[in-house]
Amino acid sequence: MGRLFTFGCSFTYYAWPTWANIAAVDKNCEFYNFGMAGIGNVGISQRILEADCKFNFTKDDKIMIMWTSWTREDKIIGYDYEAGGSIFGKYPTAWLKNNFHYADIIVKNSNAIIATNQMYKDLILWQGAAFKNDFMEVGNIEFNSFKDYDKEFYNSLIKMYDAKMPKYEFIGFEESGNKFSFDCLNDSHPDILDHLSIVNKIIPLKQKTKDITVELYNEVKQTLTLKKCTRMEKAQKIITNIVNSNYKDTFAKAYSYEALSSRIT
Amino acid sequence: MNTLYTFGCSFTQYHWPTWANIVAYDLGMKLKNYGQVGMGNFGIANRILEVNERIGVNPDDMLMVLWSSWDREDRLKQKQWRGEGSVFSNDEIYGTKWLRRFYDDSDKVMKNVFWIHSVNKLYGDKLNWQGSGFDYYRNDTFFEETPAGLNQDAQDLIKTYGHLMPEVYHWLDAENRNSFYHMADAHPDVKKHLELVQNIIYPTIGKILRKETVELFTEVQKSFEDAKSFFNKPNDEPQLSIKFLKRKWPEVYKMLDRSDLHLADGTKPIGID
Repeated sequence: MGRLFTFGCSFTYYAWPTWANIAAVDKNCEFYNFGMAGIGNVGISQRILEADCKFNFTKDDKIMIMWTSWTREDKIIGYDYEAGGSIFGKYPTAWLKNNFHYADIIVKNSNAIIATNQMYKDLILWQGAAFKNDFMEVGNIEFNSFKDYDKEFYNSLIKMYDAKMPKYEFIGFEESGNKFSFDCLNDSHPDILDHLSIVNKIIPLKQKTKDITVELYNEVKQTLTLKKCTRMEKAQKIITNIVNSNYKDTFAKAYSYEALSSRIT
Repeated sequence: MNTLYTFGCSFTQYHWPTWANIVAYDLGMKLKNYGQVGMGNFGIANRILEVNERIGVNPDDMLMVLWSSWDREDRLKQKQWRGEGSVFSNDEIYGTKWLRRFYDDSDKVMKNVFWIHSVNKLYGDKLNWQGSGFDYYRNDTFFEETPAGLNQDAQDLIKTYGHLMPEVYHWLDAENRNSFYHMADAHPDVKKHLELVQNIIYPTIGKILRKETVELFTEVQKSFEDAKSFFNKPNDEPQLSIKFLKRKWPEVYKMLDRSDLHLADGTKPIGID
């Protein structure tokens, strides 16, 4: 295997190692993580093309993608994608009521995912979805408040794209019910143990990888608990320090984030 | 009958025949014109994808695209794309507050480069012709708070990603005078479209326009030029153009095709009227 490139949102690159980092440690190969908190599927698709431009994919390279929620709109501000997340948090309700339509997200998400699969199908080692692409499940209350809501039409639109959409797994991170990562942080993102459980289903992991990941999880959890750490900013520093000090040959090697601004001419 | 699929903005689909209609007529092909007034390149790329992936294109069909300007955001409204034009000239949707918060030259550059490149990567061998109605990096900034010209970040990104852009003809003089020499509109008129086909598109695809085609569209141009008094209300020119064409040139009027993608059964395309 050549190099491994991973793509997705905060479920792929975050303040601690994710499924992507664990997979890279297991594969023990050159690894680049293009995950980005808050990014949407159009942005993910663009980032795959960006990675191809920067690294000139070869037939030996592999891509893993964790597609994200469908209700995101991506903007580049300055030198990188803006971590805006859902349009419901980004745009005021009044603006959305006038300018947001369900067909917009169905068509744009479907086309981005289909285009990526057409362009890179031979390199995709794995792809899955962190959220259900039945977008009506997401932010249901907000959706129902829009006057043009036509569930039948939008369902038929989704069905229409289904023929060309790649078949991939829904991972169900958001259903983990993990309200406090590492049982102590004020953050509900899946923690290292959650990620291990997910990646173990995606690719058969070596026992060595599982052991070292559990070891890292325990060390992080114990440190955070001892330091009574609940805030993300502090936790991120602690975790980065642990990874860089004690996991130099494993997680530290595969811990970097690839920004849009990196490696430009 | 083989089909000519065309994509673009108002330079491809307008209130009078464009290059798309001229080529289809000349080659005796059925036209499916997915051009749309106000459409940006992300929307155009999405439409090309839709046609290729959902509808399917036969080997004998032809695909042509005239890319648009870069300052556009494309959105779907209910069941179809809506053409919104430049974000700088659409205060109803965007406006100063939105521009301050969300507009960035880098965003524009990356989206346009990536999506035009994606289309070429996916369907480059199927594109019989492509051009650009505007200079690739033209900055239509009418936003007083944004300095003229692309900012440094965007220029740096172009240095890295600019090579991805296909080398195409840039139709820079498309809008350099009043349409038909008297309208308030500056969109390329039939004469300009005919010149584009004759001097640029056809030499590229190794064709020569039929005499009959040149004569027909030259006559259409002339009749619009001569009807100055008919177009006496600048704001009504689009409707008047359609009315004029329907009355004077019913056969040419029938050539105009506003195809839509029928996002789902029961969705009707926008009618010309």
